[in-house]
Amino acid sequence: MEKITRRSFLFKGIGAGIVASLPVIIPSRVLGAESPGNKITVGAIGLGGMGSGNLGGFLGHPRCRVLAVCDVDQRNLESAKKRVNNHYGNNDCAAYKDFRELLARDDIDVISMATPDHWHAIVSILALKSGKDVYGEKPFSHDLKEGRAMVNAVNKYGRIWQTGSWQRSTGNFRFACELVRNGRIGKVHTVEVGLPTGGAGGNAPFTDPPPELDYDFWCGPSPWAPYSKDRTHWNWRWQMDYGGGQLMDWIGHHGDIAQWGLGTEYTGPVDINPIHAEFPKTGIWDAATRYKIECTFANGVKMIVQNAEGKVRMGAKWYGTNGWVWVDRGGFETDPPTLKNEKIRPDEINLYRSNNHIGNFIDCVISRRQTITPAEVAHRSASIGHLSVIAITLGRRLRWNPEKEEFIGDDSANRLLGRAKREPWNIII
Amino acid sequence: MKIKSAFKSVILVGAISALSLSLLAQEKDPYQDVQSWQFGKSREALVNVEEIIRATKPDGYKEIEKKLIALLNNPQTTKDAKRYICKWLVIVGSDDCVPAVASLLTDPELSHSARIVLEPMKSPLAGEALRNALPKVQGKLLAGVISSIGVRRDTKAVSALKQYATGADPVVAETAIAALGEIGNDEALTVLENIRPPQNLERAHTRALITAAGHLADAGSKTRAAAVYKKIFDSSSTPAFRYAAINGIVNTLPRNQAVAFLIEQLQSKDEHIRGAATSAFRQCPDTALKNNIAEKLPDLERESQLLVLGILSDLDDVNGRTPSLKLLQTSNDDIVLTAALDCLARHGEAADVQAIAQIASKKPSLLNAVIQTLQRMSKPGIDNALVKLFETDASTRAIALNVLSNRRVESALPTLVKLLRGNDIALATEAAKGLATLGTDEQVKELSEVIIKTEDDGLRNAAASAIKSIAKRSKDKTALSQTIVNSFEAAKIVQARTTFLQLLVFTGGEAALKTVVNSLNNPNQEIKNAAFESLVSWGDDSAAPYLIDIAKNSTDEKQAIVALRDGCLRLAEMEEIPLQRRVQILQDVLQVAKRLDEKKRAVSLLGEIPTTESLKILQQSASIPELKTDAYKSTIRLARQIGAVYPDQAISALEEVKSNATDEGIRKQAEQTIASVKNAGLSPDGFVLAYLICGPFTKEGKDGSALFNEVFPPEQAGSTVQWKPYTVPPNKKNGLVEFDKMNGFKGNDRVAYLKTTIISDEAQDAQLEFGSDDGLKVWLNGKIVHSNNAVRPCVPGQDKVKVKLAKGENTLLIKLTQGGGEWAVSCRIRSVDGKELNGVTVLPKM
Repeated sequence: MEKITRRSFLFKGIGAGIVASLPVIIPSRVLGAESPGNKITVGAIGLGGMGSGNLGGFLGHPRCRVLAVCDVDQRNLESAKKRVNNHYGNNDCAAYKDFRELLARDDIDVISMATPDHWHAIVSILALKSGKDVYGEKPFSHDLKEGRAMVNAVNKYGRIWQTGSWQRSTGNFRFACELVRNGRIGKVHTVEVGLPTGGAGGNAPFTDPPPELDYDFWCGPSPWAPYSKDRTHWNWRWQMDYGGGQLMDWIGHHGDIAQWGLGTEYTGPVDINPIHAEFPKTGIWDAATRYKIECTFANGVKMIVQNAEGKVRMGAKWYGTNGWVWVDRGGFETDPPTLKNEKIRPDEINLYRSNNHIGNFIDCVISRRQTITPAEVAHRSASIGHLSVIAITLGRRLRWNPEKEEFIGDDSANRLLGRAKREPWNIII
Repeated sequence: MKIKSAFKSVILVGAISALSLSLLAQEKDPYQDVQSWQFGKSREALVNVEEIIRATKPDGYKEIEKKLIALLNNPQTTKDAKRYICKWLVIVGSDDCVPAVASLLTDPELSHSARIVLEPMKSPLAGEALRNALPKVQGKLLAGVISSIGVRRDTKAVSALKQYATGADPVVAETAIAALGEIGNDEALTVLENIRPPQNLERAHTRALITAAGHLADAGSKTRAAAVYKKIFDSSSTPAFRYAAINGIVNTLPRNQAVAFLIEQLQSKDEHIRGAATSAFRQCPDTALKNNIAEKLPDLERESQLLVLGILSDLDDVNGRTPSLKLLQTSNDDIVLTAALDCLARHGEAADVQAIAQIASKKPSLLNAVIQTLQRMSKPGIDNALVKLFETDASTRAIALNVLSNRRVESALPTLVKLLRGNDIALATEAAKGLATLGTDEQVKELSEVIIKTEDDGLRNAAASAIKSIAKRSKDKTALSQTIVNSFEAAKIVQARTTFLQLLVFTGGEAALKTVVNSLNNPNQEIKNAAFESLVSWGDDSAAPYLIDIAKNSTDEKQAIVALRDGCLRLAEMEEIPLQRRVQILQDVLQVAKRLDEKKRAVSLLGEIPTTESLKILQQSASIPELKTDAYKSTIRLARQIGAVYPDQAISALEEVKSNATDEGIRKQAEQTIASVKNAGLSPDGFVLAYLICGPFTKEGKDGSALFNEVFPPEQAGSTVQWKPYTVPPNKKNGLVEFDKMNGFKGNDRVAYLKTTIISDEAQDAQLEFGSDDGLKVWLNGKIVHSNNAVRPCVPGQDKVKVKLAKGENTLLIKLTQGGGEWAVSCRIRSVDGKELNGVTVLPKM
C-alpha cells in the first residue's frame, strides 16, 4: 500500500474543484481526508489582540494542528493554551515563554507570528532559519533594514511567507485594483492613502510591571524604558520604540492596497516629501498624530500618505485622467459610478484571487507557490511607511533609490534605516 | 524737557527689554532643560530639542552636535537624558561625537544607546570605537558590541572575534559566530570552518556558515560558497539547513550542474526536500536554468511534475507552454493533466485552444478542468479561437458555448444567432443555451421565432429557457412582455402558445396578465391549462382577484383548491407583497375557501403578518369553532410580534384568548405573552427587544461587504418603506435578532434594517453595545454614530459606541449586511461605564 505522506495528499482528488481564478492555488480543502498524521503543525508566537484572532483561524483550518503557543505574558499564554486544549479536547498544547524553545522544535511546520512590531524581525528571522513557514502580522518590520533581512531569510531558506494584509483576500479591494490596473480611470496620477489619526496619551504613572509579564523580555531589542500600563498591550503601537503610530500600523493595509493598484508592489518611491506632521508633547506616546507625506514614484505618480480628515477618507483612492476609484473596508465608490459594473476580461490583468487569507497561506505551504502577500511585497509597503517616518522625523524632503534601498545624499536619513538592537538580541542570528 | 524724558524712558524700556530677553534666553535653553530630564517628567524638554533638529538643515547640525556632546560629557546630565541625546546624535552626529559616545559603551545602562549611534555610522572611527570596546566589556554588553560589529560587517574585527566565538560564554560565542557569518568574507569563513562548536551552538554555527556563503556568493566567490553549501547539504541533519543549502547550491553551481542537482532534489523521496527544491526553483533568478528544468518536466516523476507545474503556472518568463502541451499528449494521469491544463491557463496560446478542448473528448473526467482553463486563457486571439470551435464536433462546440458565455464574449452573439437560425437542430439548441447566458432583450425576438416555428421539443425548451434567463435580468420587462405577447398571438402550434404563456410569468405586467387571463377561456384545453398554471405561479398580487374568482366560481373542485392553495396562499406568503395586500388576500381566502385546510392555513399565515388588521381578522376567525384553536395560537404569535408597537391592541386580543380558550396551555401562553408585551421593548439587562425591521435589500453583482455603503430607501428621507414590527423571542438571549432564520430574509449578499425609538427621561450620555454578523452601520437621530463593515460572527458587545441621548424620543436606525452563513445583530443600552442606564424605555414607532 502506498505510504501516504502529508504532501502526497496534495495530489489526491485534485480533479475535483480547482479554484477557477488566477493564479490557481490548489486549495487545501479539497486535498484528501482529514488524518491527524497529515496535519500542518502550527506554533503561535504572540497571543495578544491580533495573535489570538489568528490563532482562531489556524484552529479552524482543517489541515492545521496547533501544537504550541508562546507569549511573554503568562495570562495570554495560559488563556491560549486553554483555548487550544479545549478545541482539541486534550491537554497536548505546549506553552513557552521563550520563542527560541518553540522554534527549536523540528515538528512544527509553520509559525503564526503576532508579536509587537519591535519583535517581528528577530522572531521571524529565527523562525525562517529554523525551517518554518511564517504567517506574520503587519507592518512587516520595525525598520527598513530589518525588513530586508527578513526578506533575505525567506529567500535563502526557501520559506513561504504570508503577511497579515488580509484586505487583499476580502471585499472589493482586488476588483478596485483591477479597475485601476486595467486603465479604467485612464492614466493614474495620484493615489491618496488615508490612515487613522493618532492620539496623544500614555500618561499612566510608572510602576512595577505586573507579575505575569516578563517585562524585560517584552522590551527585548528595544531601548529599555520603565513600565507603565500605557506602554504595553495594544498601546505599544503609539510609541516609536515598539511600533510606528497609526501610520505604520495601517500602512500594511491601505498602503499595500495602493501599491497593488499602482502595480508598484516590488519597488518604491524616489522622492519623499513631508508636508506636515504633528507630534504629541506629553505622555509616553510619541508617534505622529497628524501627518501628510507626498511620495513620488519614478513614473511621476504621487502617493499621498496622510491621516484621514476633511475630504480625505480612510482607504485608498486612485485618481486618473478619466475618473477615480476609492475603496475601504467600509465602501467602494468610483467615478464614473458605472465602473462598478465593469467586467475584467481574461486577457486583461487579473490579480491574484484569494477568499481566505490563512487558507491561501496553507495552500501555498503545501504547493510552495507564492502567497497573495509575500515577503517582498510586504517589505515594500512597510518601506513606504518607514521612509515617511524618516522624512517627518528629519523634517525635510528626501530622495530614495528603491533598487539599492538607500537615500541619495543624506547620511542622517540613511542612519535611520536601521536600529541597533538591545543586547543580547540581534538580527544576524 | 518732555522729549528728553521721553527719550530716557525709551532707553530705560529698551534696557529692560534687553535684560528680559537675556533672562528669557537663559530660562529657555532647551538643552539645559534636557540635562536633568528623567523618566516621569514631562517630555516637553525632549520635544523641544526634536523640533529644533527637525527645523535645522544638515549644515546646521554641527552646532547642535556640540551642545549634545557637551551634555554627554557633563556628569550632571542624567542617564535618562543621555538615552535621548544618543538618539538625536544618530541624526546630527559626526566623527566629533564618537569619543563621547564610545565612552558609554562600558556603561550597562547606556551601552545600547551608544551603539544606536555608532552602529549605523559609516565613519571608520565608529568601527574602531566598537572594536576597542571589545576587551572592556563582558557578558551581554560584549554580545551587544559584537552584534553591532557584525551588522557593520567589519572585516577588521575578524581576528578579534575568533576568540569570542570559541569562548566560554554561550551568548557571546553565539553572537560572535553570527557576526562572523554576517561579515562573511574569506577570512571570516575560514575562521568559522575551523570552529568545532559545542552541541548547543551547532545550529548557530551552521546558520553562520550559510550566511557567510551567501555573502561570498554575492561577492562573486561562487565556487567557495558552493563548497560550503554542498558540505551542509551532505552532512546536516537539520532540515532547515538542507533547504538553505539547496537554494545556495542552485545559485552557485554552473548552470548545467545546478540543473542536474535541482532535478535530483525535485525527485527526492523526502517531501521536504522536494518542497525546498521547488522553492529554489521558484526563486532562482536564472531564467535559462528554469527553462532547462521546465523542458525536462515530461521526464520527471509524477509528484515532481505537479510541484513544478504549480510554479510554472505563476511564472510569465518561463516557457510553461511546451512541456504542458507535451504532457497533454503523453500523460494518462488525470491529476497531472489537470495541473498541466492549469499551467496552460497562463501559458496557452490561441493555437492550443482546440487541442485543449479536445482533451475533454478523450477524458470526460477532465471536462471541468478544460472548461476552467479555456475560461482563463488570456493570450491574444483566444476568443476567436473559441468561436472557431463551433466548426468542430458537438461536444467541443458545447464546451465552446459554455466558455464563451462565461467569458462574456459578446462578439460571439452574432454567431450564436446565426446558429440558432440554422438548420442543424443540435447546433441551434446549443446556441440557444449559450444565449441563456449571453443573450439580451434583442435576441428574444429571434428566440421567439424559433419557438413559433420549431417542432423539436428540445430546441423549443432551450429557446424558452434562454428567454426565461434573459427576462430575469431584463431591465425593461414591459417591452419584453409585449414581445412575448405578440409572439403568442402569432403562434399557431399549441406547444408554442403554451410555452409563451409559461414565459409570461417571468415578465409579468398588465399586458401579460391580460393574455393569461383571456387564455383561461381558450377552447383548447392545453392552452387553458397552461394559462391556469401561469396564473397560479404569477409573481405578484395582481393575479389574486382572478385566483379568488376561480376558487369561488369554478366548477372544477380541484382547480378551485389549487387556485387557493398554490395561488392565493402562496401570494400571501410573499414578503415582497405589501402587508395590507397580503392581509386582504387571506381575508378573501377565508371567505371563499370551502375546505377547512385552506382556512386553517390562512389563519396560520395571518399570525405572521404583523398588522392590527391581521389581529382583527384572527379575532373574528376565533368565533368559528373549527378555527378557534388555530386562531388563538396565531393571535398569540402575532401579539408577540407587534406587541411592542401596538401594545393596547395586542393585550386586548390576548385577554380575549385568555378568557375564552378552553385549552390550559393556550391560556397560559396568552398570559405569558401579555407579560412580555408589557415589557416588550427592553430586557431587564438592557438589550433592545423591539424593533421595526425591513428588507432584505440586494443589488446584483454586489456581495455583503460591497452593499455596506449602498444607499437603500430606509436611509433616504421621505422614502416609502415597508416596516414590520419584530420582537426578539423570549428564548433568545442578548437581544439577538437572527435574520438568517426569518422567512423572507434568508439568503446571502443582502442588507436588512432595524429601527426603534429610545425614549429617555433626560438628555444623557449613553453607550450602545453592538454585536453583529456581518457589517453594521448605525444612525442615532439621523447622524451616523458607528460604522463597521465587518465580516465576523456576532458576539454581543463587540462594538461599543458612546452617544448622547436627547430628552424624549431618539430614533435608532441600524443597517446590517449579510455575506453568507449566519446573519444577526444585538443592541444593548448602557451607561458610559457599561452599567445599567436609568430612565430609558424602548418603543418602536412607525
